[in-house]
Amino acid sequence: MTRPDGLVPRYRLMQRVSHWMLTVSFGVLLLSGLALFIPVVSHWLASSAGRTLHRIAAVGFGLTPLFYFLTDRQGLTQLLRDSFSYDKDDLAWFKHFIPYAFGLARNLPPQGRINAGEKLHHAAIVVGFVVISLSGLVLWFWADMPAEARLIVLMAHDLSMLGMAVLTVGHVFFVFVYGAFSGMWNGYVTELYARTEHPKWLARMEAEGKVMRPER
Amino acid sequence: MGKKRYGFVVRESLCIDCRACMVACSVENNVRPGKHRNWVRTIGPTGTFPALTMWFRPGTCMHCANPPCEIVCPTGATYRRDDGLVEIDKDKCIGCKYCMPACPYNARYFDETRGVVDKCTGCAHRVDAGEEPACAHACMTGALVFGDLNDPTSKAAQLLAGGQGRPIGPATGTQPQIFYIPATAAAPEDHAIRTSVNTVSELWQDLHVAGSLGLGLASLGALGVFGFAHHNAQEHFASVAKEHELTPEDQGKGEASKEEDQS
Repeated sequence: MTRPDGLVPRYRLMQRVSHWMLTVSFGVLLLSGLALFIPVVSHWLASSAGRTLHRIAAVGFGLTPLFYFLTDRQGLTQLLRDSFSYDKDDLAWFKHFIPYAFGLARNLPPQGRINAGEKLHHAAIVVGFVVISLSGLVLWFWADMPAEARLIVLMAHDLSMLGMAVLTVGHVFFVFVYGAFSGMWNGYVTELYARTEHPKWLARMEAEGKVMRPER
Repeated sequence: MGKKRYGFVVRESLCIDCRACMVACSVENNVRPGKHRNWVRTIGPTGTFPALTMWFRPGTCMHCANPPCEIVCPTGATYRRDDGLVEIDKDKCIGCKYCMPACPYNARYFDETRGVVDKCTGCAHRVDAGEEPACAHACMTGALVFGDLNDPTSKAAQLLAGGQGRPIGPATGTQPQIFYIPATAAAPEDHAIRTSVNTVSELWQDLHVAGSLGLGLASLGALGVFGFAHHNAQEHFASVAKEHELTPEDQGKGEASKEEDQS
C-alpha cells in the first residue's frame, strides 16, 4: 500500500519575489541588449525608448540583491551559505553531470538543498552579476571614456551577459527536466522530488517536522 | 556624369592653425560647447634647432567609402549616402556608442544633451543646397577644399590630379575620403589613428553574431534533448516513488493539483 506524496516548503514568498524580480529584469535586459545584434530587430530599438527600458530594468536587476537582503535577510544568508559550501558528495556529483543532463539520475551522490551543479551555477551568476553591473555602470555614467577602455568594458559587459544567458538556458532546462518549477512558483516541492533530488535536505526537513503529509 | 564622391582635399602647406574651420563648424551645426566635430592637429616640430619645421593638419570625419562605424552600427543609424557622405540618422541612433571605438580617426563623440552620437555631416544640408561645408567656406587660406572627387572640373579633383594626395591610415582599409597634400615630402604621415581598436571592434561585432547564434543553438540543443531527458527523469522519479511507496501526484501535469493543495 502506498501513501500520498507530501509537500516540502522550498522557497519563502520574498525569496520567490526576489527571484522573479531578477528574472524579469534579466529577461528585459537580455532581450533589449541582444536585439542590438539582430539586424531585423535592432531597428525596433531605434528610439530612446529601448535605452530607457534597458536602464529601468538595469536598476531593478542591480537592486535585487539589496531587495532580497532587506526583505528576507535570513533567506539570503542561507542561500549564500548553502551555495558556497561544498562537501564530498558535491565533488563526487560532478562526475555524474553528463548523464544527469540527459535525465539519467541514478546512483547520484545524495545532495543537500542546493545540488553541486546549482552551486557552481550560483557562483557563476555572482561573478556575472558583478561584472555586468560594474561594466554597465561605467558605460552608463562615463560617456567620455577613451575608445580603448570602452571596447574593453563593452566586451566585459557583453561576454558576462552571454555567459549568464547560456547559464540561464541550462537553468531552465534542468528545472523542467526534473520538475522543480513549483518550488519557485508556489513555494513547495513534492516529497518525491525532494527525496530524489535533495535527500539530505529532505532528511533535515523531516527532522524539523516541516514536511507536510496529507491525511490518509 | 557618374556617381558623386564627395571628399575633402587638404593642402597642408596652407594651414596656419587658425581654427576658423572649427569655429565655423560649431556655429553652423550648433555643436555642443566643449565638443568639436573637427580638429587641427599639429605635426612636429621636427628637425634640429634652428632648422625646425611644423605642420598643421585639419581633419574631421573622413567620410570613408568603407566606414567601420556603419558596419558596427546595430540600428542602421549610421549610413553612407550615395554621394559618399557618411551620416547619422539621429532618430535611429540609440546611443550605444559601438561606433565610437570603431572609428580609427576618433571622429565621433557622444552628445549627452541629445543622447546620441554626433560627428561631422559634411554639412550635407549645405551641400544639398549647392553650398560647400562651413569649414571649407571659412578656410581663409584655401587649405581645406571640398568637392566631388569624381568630377574632374571640381577644384578638389584638380588638386588631386597631381597624385600627391594621401589619405590617413590607408592600411585600415576604411578608404577615407580626405586627401592630404603634404607640405614637403618630409612631412611625416599621421599616426594618430587607432588601427588595432578598429580591427578589434569589427571582430567584436562578428563575435556578437557568433555569440547570438551560439545562444540560439544552445537553446535548440536543450529543446532537442529535453524530451529524452524528461522521460528518463520521470522514469527515475517513478522508481524512487515505488521504492518509498509513494503515490506520485505529478505525472508531468501536477502543477495544477499542487496549487489546489496550497489553497
